[in-house]
Amino acid sequence: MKRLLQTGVMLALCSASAMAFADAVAAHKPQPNYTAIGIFLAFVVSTIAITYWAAGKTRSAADFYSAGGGISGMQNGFAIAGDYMSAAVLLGVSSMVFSTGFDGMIYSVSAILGWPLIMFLIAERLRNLGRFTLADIIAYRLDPIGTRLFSAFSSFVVVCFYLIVQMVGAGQLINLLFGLDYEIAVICVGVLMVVYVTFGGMVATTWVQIIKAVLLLSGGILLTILALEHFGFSIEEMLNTAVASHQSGAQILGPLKIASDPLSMISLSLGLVFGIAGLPHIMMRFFTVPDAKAARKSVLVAYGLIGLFFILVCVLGTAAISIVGQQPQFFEQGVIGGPLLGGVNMAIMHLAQALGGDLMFGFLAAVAFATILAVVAGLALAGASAISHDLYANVLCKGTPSPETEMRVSRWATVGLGIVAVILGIAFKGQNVAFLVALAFGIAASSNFPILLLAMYWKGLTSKGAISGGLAGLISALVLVLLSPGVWVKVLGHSQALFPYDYPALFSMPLAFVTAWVVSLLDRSSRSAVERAAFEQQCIRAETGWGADKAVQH
Amino acid sequence: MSSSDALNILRKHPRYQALVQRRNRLAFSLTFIVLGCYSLFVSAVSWRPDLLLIEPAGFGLTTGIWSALLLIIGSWLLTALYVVRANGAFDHMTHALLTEVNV
Repeated sequence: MKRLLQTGVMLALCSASAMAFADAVAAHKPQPNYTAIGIFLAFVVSTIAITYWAAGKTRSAADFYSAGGGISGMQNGFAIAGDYMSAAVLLGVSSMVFSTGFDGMIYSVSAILGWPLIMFLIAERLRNLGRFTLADIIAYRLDPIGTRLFSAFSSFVVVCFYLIVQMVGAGQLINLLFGLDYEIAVICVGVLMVVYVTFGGMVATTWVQIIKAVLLLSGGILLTILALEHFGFSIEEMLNTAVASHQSGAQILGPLKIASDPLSMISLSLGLVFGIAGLPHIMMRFFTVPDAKAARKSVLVAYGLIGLFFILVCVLGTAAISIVGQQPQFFEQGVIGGPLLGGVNMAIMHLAQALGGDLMFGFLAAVAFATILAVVAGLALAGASAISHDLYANVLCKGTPSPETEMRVSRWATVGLGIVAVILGIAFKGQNVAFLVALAFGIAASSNFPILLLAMYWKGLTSKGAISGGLAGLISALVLVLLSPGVWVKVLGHSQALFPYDYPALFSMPLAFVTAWVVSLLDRSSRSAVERAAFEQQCIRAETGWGADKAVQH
Repeated sequence: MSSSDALNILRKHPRYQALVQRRNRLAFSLTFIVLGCYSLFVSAVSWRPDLLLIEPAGFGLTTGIWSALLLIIGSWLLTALYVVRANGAFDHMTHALLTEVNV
C-alpha cells in the first residue's frame, strides 16, 4: 500500500511538473527553449526513479542519515563535489571574473583551499568519531544535551541561510530561463526536494548529487573546449583579447576590487577557508562511507573535481569578457558596457548562447537548475538530521528513541523544512541575498568550526567552554554581518555602516576560540574533570578507528 | 578483555605512539605548507599586487595566474601524497596494531 502511494505521488509529481512547465512556457515565452525543458525533465524523471529505488533501501535511521555507511569513496567524492559546486559558484564566480578579472581567481583559490586542510586535520577523525551529524563529534565526551542543542542550533542556522540563497536563486533562474512564475518555481523546488529526501534519504540525495556533478562538469568541460577553440586554443590570445576589450584594461590581471582593503580580504579568506569545515551538509557526507580510508579517498576525488571546476569557471569567465562583452545583443538596450541582460550573474549563460547556440544554452540552463535542486536536497537532509537525530533522538529522548518514531520525525522534519524553505524563498523575493552566503560561511567558520577543531584536538575543552565559545562566535558573526555595509546600508537603508567589513570571520572566529579557551580553563566543575579524562579514549578512537561505527550490511 | 584494558594496552603500545607521531607530523607539516603558501598569496594580493603582474618571459601568463594555478594544483598533489601515505603505510600500522591487541 505504502509503495503504491509512493509510486502514485511520484508519477503525479512528474506529470505535474511537466505540465506546469509546458503551461508556463506557452504563456510567457514566444520561443521556448525545448532543449532546456527536455534535459531538465529528463533529470527530474531519472532522479525520481532513483528516489523510488532508494526508498526501498531506506529502512532504518542509519539508512536515512548516512546511507548505512555504504557509499564508496569514489561515489562520495563525486557527491561531495556535487554538494560544493553550487549554482552560486557557476554563475557567481564566472560573473566575478567577467566583471573584475583576477579577483574571481583570488576568490576561487580561497574558496577551495579549505579542502586540503579538511583532509589533513579533520576527515578521518570525523569518520572515526561520528555517526550521523557534526554534533556527534562535539558531544562525544561533552555534555550530550547542552553541546548538542548548541551544535544543532548553529547547524540549523547555517542550513537556513544557505537555503534562502538557493531558493531565491532558483526562483530567479527559472523565471528567467523558463519563464515560469517565481512563486511556482520556488514551490516546485520545495516539493522536489521534499520528495528526494523524505522517500530516498541519503541514498537518493547522494545519487542526485553524483548525477548533477557529472552533468555540471561535462557541461563545463564542453563549454571550455568551445571557448578555447574560439581563441585557437591559446590562453595567451584569450587573455590578450580580454585585456583589450575590458573597460579596466590590463588592471584585470591583478587584484582590482577584492583587496581594496587588506583586512576585509583577510576576513573573507578566513571565512572561506575555514567555513567549509563547519558546513553541516558537507561534513555529514563523511559519515556515508564505510571507514577512514574511504573518507580520505573521497576528499581526494572531491578536491580534484572541485579544483578542476573552479579553474574551468575562471577560464569561462575570462572568455566571456571578450566574447559576451563585445556583442550588443547580450546587453540591455544593446548598450555594450551597460547592464547585462538578466543581471550580471548571467555572463556564463550568454557565453553558452554565443558559443553553442540554443542547444548549449538549454543544456547549461537545465544543469544550473538541477544543481540548485541537488544542493537544496543536501541542505534539507542536513537540517532534518539536526532536528531528528540531535534534537529529537538525543536531547528529547535522551538517546533512546524508538527507531520508527525517529524515522517518522526525520521525514516530517523534512516536510517542515520544505515548507519553511518555500516561505523564506517567497519572503526574500527580489532581495539582494548575496550577503547570506558570507553569513552562512562566517557562522560556519565562527561557531561550528572552532568547536569541532577544539573538541578533536584539545584535551582541555569542557562543555561550558564549547557552548559559550560557539555561542560567542555565532552571535558575534550574526551581529557583525547585521551592522556591515552589505546589510546595514544596502538592505536596511542606513547611511553609514556601524562595522566597516562585509565579512565577520576575522573577528568572530578568534573570539570563539578565545572564549572557548578561557571558559574551559576556568571551568573547575567535577563534570569538567570527567570530560578531560575522557579525551584519551576519544583520541585513540579518532586515530585508529577502534570502536568506530561500521557500515550496515544489507 | 574489557574495553578499558584494551585502551590501556593501546595507549602504551609503541606502535600506537609511532603511528600517531608520524601521521600527525606529516599532517601538520602539510597543513603548515598549504597555509603558509596561501598566506603569502593573500599578502601579495593585499599589499604588493605589483608582484602578481610580472610576466615571466617564455611563460605566457602573469605570476598572479601562475601562483593561483600552482596553489590549486600543488595543494591537490599534497593531498594525494597524504592519501598515499595514510592509506598505505599508516593504515598497515593501524591494522597490525589492532590485530596484535586483538580488539
